[in-house]
Order: sequence, then structure tokens, then C-alpha cells
Amino acid sequence: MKTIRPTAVLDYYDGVQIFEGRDASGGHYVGVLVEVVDRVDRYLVTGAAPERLRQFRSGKLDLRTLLLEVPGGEWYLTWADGSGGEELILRPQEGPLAAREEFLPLPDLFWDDDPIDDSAVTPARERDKGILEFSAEPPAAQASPAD
Amino acid sequence: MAALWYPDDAMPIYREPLPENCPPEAAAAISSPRIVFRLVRKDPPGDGDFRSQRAENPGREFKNITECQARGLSVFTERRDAAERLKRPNLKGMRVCPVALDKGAGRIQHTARRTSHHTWWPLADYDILSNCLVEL
Repeated sequence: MKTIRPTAVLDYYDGVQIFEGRDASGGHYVGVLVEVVDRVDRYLVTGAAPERLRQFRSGKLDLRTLLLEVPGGEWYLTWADGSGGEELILRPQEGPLAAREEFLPLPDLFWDDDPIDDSAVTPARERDKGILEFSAEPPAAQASPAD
Repeated sequence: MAALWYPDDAMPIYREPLPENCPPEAAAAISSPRIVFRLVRKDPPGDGDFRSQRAENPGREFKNITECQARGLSVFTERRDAAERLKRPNLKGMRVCPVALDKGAGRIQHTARRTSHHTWWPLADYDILSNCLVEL
């Protein structure tokens, strides 16, 4: 069973829309909210090469391309209902992701922000070490499942 | 936290109960007319389009945001930032609704570094729906 831990929120609108995550061996992942079913957030997750993730975070690569170019075509769904602690369980999916238009962002979605840099977050960051990182810096290059 | 424009220094009553020190001090009281942009699912919009994460998920533990944030609403002050969100899978098909805010609408805080994303904590008496007209 593959799990990841969210490490940074990349986009926020009434909830986390896009996040970055790592698995136990340091592999990089990107997740995007695809729907909310029975009040549970459902995310599409793929591995991402550190360099491509860095390009996305610098606004040079669009999210759809990043999601679709993962070597081997492996993609996952995960459910985040807040009850599973920090870890998200990745459930492998069958078939090409390109055929699941409902899970994909529209073309030309370039990352344009670091969300929630505010005092409403700071106390939680101090209180809860598990709070996600909000950083403008690109992630450090580490081994990736897509490498 | 008393809002200065209130007569008798009455404590403002927000649309939903807020934790202590929420909205944060950095959140500005809305004291003059301004427009913000909210994504809505229906036209005309309904109350469900203006429910916070906490209202939608009463028993949920949010790992990545504070309780204060969970009880606010995401809005943008720039229309293009709101429209850009429509590219996200979960937000496809939604519509941009300009919301007219004025004195008595609550408090608002810029909660992003580069976009115009704000968090808005509406006051209970503010008539949101009549101030939100979905764009054609």
C-alpha cells in the first residue's frame, strides 16, 4: 500500500485544490482535488519529477501536462476526510489518465500563487507541527518515482 | 473584538460561530463599497454557495488550515483570478459571481502572496444573495 504525506499546499479555494506530497522514500507527488463526494475530498495524484515540479511551481509548466507526462502512466486516487492523520493512501487506477477528462484540469493552468500567507495560519503552524508548508521556494531535488 | 463603526460598540455577530481571535487582527473591517468575486454553482446562487468548509463539514478535522480559516469564505478581488480557478477539475462549470460588499459585510483579509485571494468572514445580517449577481 503506497502512502504519501502532503508537504505543501499549492492552491487553495474553499479547501486545498492542489498540493504537493512525498512518499516514504522521498518521491515527489502532486495532487489535485477532483470532486467532493459525501463531504470527502477526492484527489487525483501522480508522481512528478523534481525538475518538472519545479517548473510547474515557477509557472513554466501547466498542471495538465505535469499530470499526464508521468512515466508509466501510473495515477492514483486518494480520499482526504481528515480522519486518516497526515498520511494519504494512494489507490492505483486502471486505464490511461488522459481518458478521464473529468479528473483533469483544463489546459494552461499555470500555478500563480502561494496561498494563505496570513496570521490565521501562523498560530496553527506553531501549534501543530503537521501543518502544511507554505513556501515560495521550489522543493529540494530528491529521488522521484518519475525519475 | 468590537468593530469601530458599530453603534454602542456592539459585538458583531458573524454568519457562523467563530473561534477566539477570529477573524484575525489583520483582517480589515469592510467599511466602504467594494466588489469581490466568488465562484458559485447555481444561478441564481443559493445559501449553499456561501457555506464555509466548516459549515459543509461539521465533524471534520482540518489538518491543513486553522479553524478560523475553515469558517471563512474564499473570494477574489480581481475577476481574472476567480476565472482562472475555473480550470480546476473540482471547479469546472462553476460561475463567477461579483458580490457587492459594503459597511456591515464583515471582515476580510488578503490570504495569498501573488493573487487576490481573500478570506471573508461575513456578518450574519449581511444579505449576501441579493448582492451577488451571476455574470452572463
